[in-house]
Amino acid sequence: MMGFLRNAWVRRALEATLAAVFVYASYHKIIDPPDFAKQVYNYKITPGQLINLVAIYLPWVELVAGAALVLGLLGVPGRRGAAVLVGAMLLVFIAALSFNLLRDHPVACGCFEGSSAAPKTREELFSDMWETILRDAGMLVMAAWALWAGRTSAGPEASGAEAAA
Amino acid sequence: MKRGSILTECIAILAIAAALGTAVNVLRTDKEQRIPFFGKYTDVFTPKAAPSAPPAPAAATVASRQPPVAASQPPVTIHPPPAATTLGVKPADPPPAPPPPVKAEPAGPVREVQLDEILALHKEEDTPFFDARRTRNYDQGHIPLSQPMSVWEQEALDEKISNLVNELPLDVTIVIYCGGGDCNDSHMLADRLVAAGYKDLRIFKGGFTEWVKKGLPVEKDGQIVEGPVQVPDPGEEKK
Repeated sequence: MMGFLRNAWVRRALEATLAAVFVYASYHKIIDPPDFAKQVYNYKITPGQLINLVAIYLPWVELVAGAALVLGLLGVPGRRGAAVLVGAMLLVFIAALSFNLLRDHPVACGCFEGSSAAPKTREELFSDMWETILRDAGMLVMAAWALWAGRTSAGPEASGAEAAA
Repeated sequence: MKRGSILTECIAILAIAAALGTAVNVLRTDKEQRIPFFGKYTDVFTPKAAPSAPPAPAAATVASRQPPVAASQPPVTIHPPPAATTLGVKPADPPPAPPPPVKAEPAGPVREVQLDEILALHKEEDTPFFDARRTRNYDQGHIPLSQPMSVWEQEALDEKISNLVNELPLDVTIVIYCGGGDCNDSHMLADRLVAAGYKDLRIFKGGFTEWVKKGLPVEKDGQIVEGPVQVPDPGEEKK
């Protein structure tokens, strides 16, 4: 069991999945910052002065962290830092959604689509929020797993050798 | 790998992201896509009211958006004048019960209004209409003669408001609309225009969605299309 959990190929698959999700998630936010600012505003958590900073920089952190995970598969250093940042972002997303669920404030996730997406009812939004929290929690486990599995290796080659051993 | 190197990697990733984010936002040529680094948003921490709340009456004043002085004033009650009586003469019939006092709406720069008032204002062609939705939604169809003024395209909005103050007197009646439903863009734009000095802002509560549902004409690409019109994204959020 421990061998599977620490298998380098499993770890690479986890990192590749997280990378794909985060690079894809960053795309519409980078293309249309005002739209993402609107989504950040709708969460009703971020102070007004800081909403645009989040809208400008968060998508780039998602993109660069995702790219670092991909490059990590090729042996470029940075994948562990990227995994930590991905985990931190997921924690923030989970906290933001949970806070709004607790105060009965339905909000569109804004994860993969802009605010022009098909309108949803209040019940649909709450249902989506629960789904997103579960999905983010799953990805958080994946990030932690990848971080833990690669903690003794410096790169995929070392991990591969370790797994083969 | 040690903890220090993970921290270094995190800092490197954040630095690259910050550099890219800054560069791309500064170099964007499309003002509708470029946003200032620090936002000017209002009403940030107040979640929308639950839909179970009783609906606001027609032409109700938006109490929460009154300036502090106006909000603190109690509603003005106008009592009818006392009926004239003849001294020494007992009236044959008991005097009718006085009608209930008429509550006057407190004055405020921002009011939510219904479609009938909007239609009356639209007939006066000198009443400016502003569409607070995203410009791409405006381009897909809008109330005839309205102008795009998206509250989210802040770089362009600052310039538009600056030009507006030079061109339009501050006491003119302005109509603002967005997608209707839960859409808050109109109120946000109204707040910006109040801050710029405008004193009479009417928010079309039903928004573009109600306009389309009523089969009213829609302007698209400079052409007036008689309703009913199919609009791909009216910007409405269902309740």
